[in-house]
Amino acid sequence: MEQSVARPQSELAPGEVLKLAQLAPSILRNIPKSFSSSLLLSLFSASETPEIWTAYENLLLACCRTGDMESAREFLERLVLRFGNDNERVLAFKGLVKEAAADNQGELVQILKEYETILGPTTTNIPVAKRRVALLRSMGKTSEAIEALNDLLDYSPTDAESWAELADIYLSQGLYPQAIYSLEEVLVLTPNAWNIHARLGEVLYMAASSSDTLRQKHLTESVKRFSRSIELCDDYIRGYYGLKLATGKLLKDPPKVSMHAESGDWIPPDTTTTEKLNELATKKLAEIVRRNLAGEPLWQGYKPSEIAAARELLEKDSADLVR
Amino acid sequence: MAWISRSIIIAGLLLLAHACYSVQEHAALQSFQAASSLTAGTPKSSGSLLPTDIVVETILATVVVCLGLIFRAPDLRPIQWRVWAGRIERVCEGSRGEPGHGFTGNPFRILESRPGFVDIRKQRHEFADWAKSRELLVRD
Repeated sequence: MEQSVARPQSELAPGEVLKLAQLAPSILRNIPKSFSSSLLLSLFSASETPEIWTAYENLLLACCRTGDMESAREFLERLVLRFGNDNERVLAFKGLVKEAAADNQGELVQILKEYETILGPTTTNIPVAKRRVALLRSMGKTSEAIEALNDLLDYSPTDAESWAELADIYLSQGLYPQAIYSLEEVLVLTPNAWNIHARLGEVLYMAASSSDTLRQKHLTESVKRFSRSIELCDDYIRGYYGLKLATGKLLKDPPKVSMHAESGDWIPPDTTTTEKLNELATKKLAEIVRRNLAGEPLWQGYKPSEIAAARELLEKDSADLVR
Repeated sequence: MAWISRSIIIAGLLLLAHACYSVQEHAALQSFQAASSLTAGTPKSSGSLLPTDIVVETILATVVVCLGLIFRAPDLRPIQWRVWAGRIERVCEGSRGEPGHGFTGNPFRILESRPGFVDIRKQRHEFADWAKSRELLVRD
């Protein structure tokens, strides 16, 4: 089995999903339908590894996306065969396959009702609760989704994934303070997640552009978050890009002394510090772009779109300087 | 470079086997001598010490085997968080210098893709649109 199948999947581009889904039939053929629990038989037949089940879940998702429902059902059947009908994850996957196959609003409402009967008044089946939130959001009932997610977080407050989803929903509604709060909760749970630090920096930057009163505070905080993300991860293009944007904006309209005095609990950085950070970000971005485009083998992990965006930013910056 | 470390290990193991054989021979010789000296009636007590060359050979063989094993070890992973994280971001999967076996990418990626909350219907639509646009491209 290929290594890539068993890896946790992130947001794949359609082409990659297609490639993954095309592997499905051959994997279904090569791996036996069930594994024997007898010790003697397991000596002769293929052995069961945890990677197989991760791969099945990934392939199930990929097949649902590409519309290969036959393979998706086959994977689901195997998961049911192994883990039983009442397993929490299996229940969630069953719902997922039904959602993918549904083509009208009535069916979706039906699935939603099924979720509610599974959840009942007291059970804490987290995967199914998450599916319910996702379905509500997908159907456009955002306020209900937020409510359900808050209920979920009430009994499972250490679930970083749910907090991240909540932040995303709030952000899609333009509720910046709530989104920032949720992302801070994620950071409390996973303080070393450099991408979440960068994400929070981005959200703060967006919040700074939308409000005038807290503008300076958000910008300062955003610079801090981006700085933390590059502290946690060398050559992090997203962190440097954000740092350059945020410091650039902070340099354009420097904080007034009066604002500093009235809020008290935060101190804007020195202009020299901000300038230094801006210079550093420019230098590092230029280095990353140069090395990536020169084809250095250890610098090819960046997405082409990221590199293009960084290049554009640098070019815009130098054009401003010349002018 | 694998053959270098492998040959070092094989040489070390041969040396070690030779040292063991020497000890065995030495012990056999000693017991034979002791037996013969008993019959001759002149008792000797210096039979327990090994000759220096066998001791040296044993130690040397062990060191050589250890060295070979050390050379064979895979590249060390970075011990600093930011270096390790930076390598994940910077290095393309499957290229040389990849962080080693069991490389799973950024472990915090799932906080942004959130597989538990996946909106499968939206993804299906996106995929269908993509497939359609690709078909158009192929036809042109």
